[in-house]
Amino acid sequence: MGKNLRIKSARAAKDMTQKDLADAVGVARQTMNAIEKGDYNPSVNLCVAICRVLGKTLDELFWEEEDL
Amino acid sequence: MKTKVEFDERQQQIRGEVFSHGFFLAVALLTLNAILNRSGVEWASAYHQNYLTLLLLICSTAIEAVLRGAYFNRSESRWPMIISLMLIVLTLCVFHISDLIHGEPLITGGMITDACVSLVHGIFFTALIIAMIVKEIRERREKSE
Repeated sequence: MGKNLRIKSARAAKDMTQKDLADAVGVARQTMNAIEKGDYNPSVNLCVAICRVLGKTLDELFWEEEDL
Repeated sequence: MKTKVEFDERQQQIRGEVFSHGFFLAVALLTLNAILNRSGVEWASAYHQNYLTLLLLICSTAIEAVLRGAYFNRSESRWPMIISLMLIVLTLCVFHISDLIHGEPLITGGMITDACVSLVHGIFFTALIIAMIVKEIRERREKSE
C-alpha cells in the first residue's frame, strides 16, 4: 500500500495539520500519520469521518484505480 | 469535533497483536524453562526463574509495544516516562555497584545470585529506555516531514 497523498493534499487545502484532522475524527495523530504514509488501513467508519471533515467523497480520497 | 476515545482503532489493533505475541512468548519461555529444569539445568532458584521469566516477558512486550507505536496515554512526549525509567536504572546501578563492592558474586554453584538479578533488571530497563528514545526520535522526524 502506497502513501495516500490525496488525504495530505485535501488536509493542506483546508489548512489543517495532522493533529487537527486527528482531533476532528477522534483518533491519535500517530494514526493519521500512519494512514497518510500507507502503513495502516482505516476502518470504513474512520474513512467516512475523514471524508466528512475534509468535504470529499470516499472515492476521491480512498479509491485506487488498478493498472490493468 | 468527535469525542476522543482513549485508544483508537489502530491502537486497539496494535495492542491486540502485541498481547497475542506476548502470550505465545510466555508459553515458549515457560516451556523452555520447564525443559531446562527437567534436563537438570538449574540456572536460578525457583523464585528467580519465575521472576526473570516474567520480567523478560513484560520487557519484550513493552519494547514491541513502544516500537510499534502503542502509547500509555495521549501525551505526545515520552520524556516523563523515559526520565522515570532512567531514575530506576540509576538506582539499580547503585545497588549493583554496592553488591560488587561488597564482593557478591554474580553466579554461585551454577545459579545466578541476587546481584546478578539486579544487573539483569538494569539491562532490561536500559533496553526499554533505548526503544523509547529511538521511537521518540522517529516520531520527531515524522512530525517535521
